[in-house]
Amino acid sequence: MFVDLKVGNLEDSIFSSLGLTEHGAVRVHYTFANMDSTATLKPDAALSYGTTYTVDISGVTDLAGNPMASDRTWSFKTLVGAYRAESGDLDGDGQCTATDAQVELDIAVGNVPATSQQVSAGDVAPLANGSLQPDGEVDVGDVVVILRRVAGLVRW
Amino acid sequence: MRIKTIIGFILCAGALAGCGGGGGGKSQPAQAVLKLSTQGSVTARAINGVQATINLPTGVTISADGTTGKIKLSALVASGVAAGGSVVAGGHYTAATAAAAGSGKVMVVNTSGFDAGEFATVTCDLAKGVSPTAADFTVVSSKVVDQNGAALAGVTVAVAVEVK
Repeated sequence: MFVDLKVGNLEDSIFSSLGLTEHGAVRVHYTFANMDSTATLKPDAALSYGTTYTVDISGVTDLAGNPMASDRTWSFKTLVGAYRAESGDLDGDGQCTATDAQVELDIAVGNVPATSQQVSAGDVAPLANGSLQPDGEVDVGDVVVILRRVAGLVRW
Repeated sequence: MRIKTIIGFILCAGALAGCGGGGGGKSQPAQAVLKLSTQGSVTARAINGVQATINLPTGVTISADGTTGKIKLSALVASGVAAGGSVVAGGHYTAATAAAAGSGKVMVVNTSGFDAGEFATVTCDLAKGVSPTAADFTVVSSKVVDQNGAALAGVTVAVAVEVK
């Protein structure tokens, strides 16, 4: 994930603050990709799916000390992740978490309807010799396997 | 003399009110507590999840969300051998229709595994005059699985009932 910032001539500019935040927390600080008019933010880790991030830039001056007219801030939202078959990711956030196990349970008992993508992602059980053997339905076996994955008791 | 008469009337009225409280007053609705258990031969803590659908007799309901049918937390808890540790429980209630009995589908999962025995408690509400027995509840389907999500053959689900 890269965010290119067009901020004028960086050779003549100094940043006092440039950062990327997620829910108010600083996610990464900037690095200069090159010394032209572009600064590139390189997050240390992959950004989350379906999440809003905010880019802030402030305190920019040129070498003569002339400040940018005003601080700038803008936001962008990452795409909702694609459902992947047998991933255990039923909410499409790119991860397999306790939330997915709860969604799986609600689907299995009939509290919420399942999309075909969720069925594909959530049909993981049974496990045989460590490999998934999907049986074509979402039920208690899938909830068990996903919850055990969340707990770190099984991997695939 | 007149004062004594009034006091006597008040005492009598109070006594009558006390007698009537147990009959036609705001008494709690009767409930049936279902104890669900697995039965069968399994090794220690070999069970990791159970799902079961139970048909309910006429006049028996389960408290649930009116839109989704999700059984309320107060009406379904993991219990007995499945309680404790990393456990999740949930269920769905389907109200009775003219053509079909009401039913509850419950699921309990525990990553630590548990033995055969009681695994869930479901609290049902009873219509006035209804007093069901265990024979009135039918387990129409069930699935008991191990840590790999594979079905455990020969393990069934039974219902015990206590009416309060």
